[in-house]
Amino acid sequence: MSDKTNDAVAEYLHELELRLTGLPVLQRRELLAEIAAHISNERVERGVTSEGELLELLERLGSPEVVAAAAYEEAGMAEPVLSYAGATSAARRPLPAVAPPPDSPPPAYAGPFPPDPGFARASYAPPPVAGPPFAPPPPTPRPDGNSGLRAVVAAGIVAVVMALIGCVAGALFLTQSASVEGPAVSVVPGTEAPLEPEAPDVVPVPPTVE
Amino acid sequence: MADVAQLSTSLRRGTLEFCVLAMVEHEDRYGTEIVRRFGEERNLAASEGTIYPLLSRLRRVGWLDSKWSESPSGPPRRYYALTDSGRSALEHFRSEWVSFRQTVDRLVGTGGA
Repeated sequence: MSDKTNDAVAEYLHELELRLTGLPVLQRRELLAEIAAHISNERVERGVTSEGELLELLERLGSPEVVAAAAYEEAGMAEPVLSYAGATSAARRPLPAVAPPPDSPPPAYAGPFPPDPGFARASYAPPPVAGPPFAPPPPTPRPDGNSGLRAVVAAGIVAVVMALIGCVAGALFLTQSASVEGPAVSVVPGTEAPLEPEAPDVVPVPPTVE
Repeated sequence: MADVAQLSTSLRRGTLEFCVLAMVEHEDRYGTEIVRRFGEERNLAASEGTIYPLLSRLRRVGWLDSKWSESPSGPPRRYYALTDSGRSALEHFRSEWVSFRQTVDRLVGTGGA
């Protein structure tokens, strides 16, 4: 009998301790000591001997969940997620505004990054003259020369692609509008117009080749 | 039922701690004694174990003092005593409570004849 009742008390205190791990160590120890003393006092002073009486005693004390929830609330802390918290304790969690701050640092990190590149660029500009060791400066002219050629080529490619897209789009428009409405036919001349300017771009190429 | 429980929880919040202070106003009491006393009050009925975190907070804010003491029978007891700041907090609550209660009574119609 006494073994069983002691088991029940030990189990209760263990369950409670597991749920109090989020509390500062001294508050946790203090509460556990008080609850243990309370149980001992009640057993002695009320002459609790049977397991049934002991369970009643623990029932009056409240479940470990309930006691732990009160402990976190009185400590002004959010209850750890690991507990089998009910709806009420879950509702309490958002209240403490202490948690959000730790999350805010990330935004602060994002800030420093932009300034660094800017600072690097600013320092790069002057060095080209005085600092030969800097490899970066020479590369810059190359991009210019290449970029010029590339820009022309790219522009040509873009123009051709645009022309092709225009043709396809125009063709689609024609087919759709033609199939749907008769009047759309009047638009045909308009769509053909853009096609003509594109032709010259293509035409000049053959002459240069020849 | 849930609403009833919610109401009593809300009413208890902010008032229960002064009931605790008043309980040790004239003589020091140990935890189990305080908890038992609350257990006898139907309207304040809360799980006994939730009183201990409250006692802990009142001690941390300096309204209660505590000391462990040997018991003639059984385990050592932790006795709680009202501090000076606890005493003034209790006095402040008393005057606030009277005017608060009168206002609520007037508005809700519970003032009686």
